[in-house]
Amino acid sequence: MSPTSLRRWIWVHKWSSLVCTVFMLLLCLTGLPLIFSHEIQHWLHAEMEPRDMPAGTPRASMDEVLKVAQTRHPDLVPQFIGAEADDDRLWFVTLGPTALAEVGRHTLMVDARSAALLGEPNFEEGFMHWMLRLHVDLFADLPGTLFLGFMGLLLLAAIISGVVLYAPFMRKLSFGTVRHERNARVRWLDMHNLLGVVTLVWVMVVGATGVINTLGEPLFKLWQATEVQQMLAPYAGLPAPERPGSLQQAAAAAEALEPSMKLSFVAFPGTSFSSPHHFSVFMRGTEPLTARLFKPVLVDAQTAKVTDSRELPWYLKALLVSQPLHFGDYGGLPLKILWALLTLATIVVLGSGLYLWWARRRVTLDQQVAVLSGTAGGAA
Amino acid sequence: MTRSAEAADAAPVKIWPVPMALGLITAIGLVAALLGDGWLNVLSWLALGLPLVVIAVFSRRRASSAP
Repeated sequence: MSPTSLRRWIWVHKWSSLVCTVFMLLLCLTGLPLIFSHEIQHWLHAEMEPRDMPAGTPRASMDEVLKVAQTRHPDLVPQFIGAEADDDRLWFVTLGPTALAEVGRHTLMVDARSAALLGEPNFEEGFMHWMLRLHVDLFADLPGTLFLGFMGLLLLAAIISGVVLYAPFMRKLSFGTVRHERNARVRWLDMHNLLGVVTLVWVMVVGATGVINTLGEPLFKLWQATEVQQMLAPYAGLPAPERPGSLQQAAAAAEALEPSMKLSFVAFPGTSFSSPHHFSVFMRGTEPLTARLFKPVLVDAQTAKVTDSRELPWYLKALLVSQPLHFGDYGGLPLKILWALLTLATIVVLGSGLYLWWARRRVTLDQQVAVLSGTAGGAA
Repeated sequence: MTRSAEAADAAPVKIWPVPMALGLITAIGLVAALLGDGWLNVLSWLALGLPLVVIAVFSRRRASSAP
């Protein structure tokens, strides 16, 4: 590599890393508990676990489930009802002050067989909520999310420039050499190179899918403004129904349309995921790859007839497929543990990178280039 | 030193085979669990565990002779 391009890559690696490292350390640290979010929530709300019942116990009508939730909160309106992918024994019912409200929501857990109220976990406060907000938007809503997405792009630049610089650094060293006999700076340089190159593909994938995830909200808005509007065109100008009809019948209509899929969640009429005239029933596949690939079915809230159902556009499919690759929640607990260990390795790469910058802050770019291009003595 | 650097260029250490193999195995591990459960999950655990094993082995290993 010519000294000029070497100089450029060193510059890119230094500054892209320096700017994003603090945020990446925060994302790694908050991401660690979030990997196990499902397990932690179950543990935190163990007293709300549904009882085991014999297989084949008939399920309660969703209308009855909804009534139980509304009786608990008569002043709130229903927004969503859904089930976790791996547990159809209970429904999560979300209610809010209005259909569109994003604050003041309550989530109730209702047994799907007995329609008994199991509890009211608070997902809007506590340790895990803090971790989630710090990880997703730094408590700054969409601007915070997009900012973190930009930091993710810088991480990708740091990784690519790091790969380019790996070659000149390793010119005289066999793979995985850690020069324990040398000073701390050389030792940590070797560790930085070893851990960085070994975790490379995993960090790239988690970083890139994280960046894609930051675009989730704008992409959903784009879809709603375009395709959803087309689907709703026949209802333009019609007055909204005063009382929506049966939720159970709407869900049954969607299940009849897509018998090989499972119901993931339903958005009530008037919420951000539906229209004033419809229940939006989100069906999903049953394989790891398709479990998050929703197919929305718009069901007329009064007649319980299917109005329209379309495949999601490619950009939302890409978004939804990228999510498991970011969360690491698609291969059981062992995969989550591997995700956590790889996160710890990433923290070492970030931390050692920061240390190396500090330890070599007085070494000029010219000196670094000279060492790496082999025109001066000694190892880097 | 310029001469020895040239000599090193003439017979370079093979830098990329091991990282490329590890990258490929990681990619297989990431995709495997997406495609199904059962043995595909096990494959994914083994593949994604490999980088961690490499780290554990090489970060402690002392060079038999100084490079």
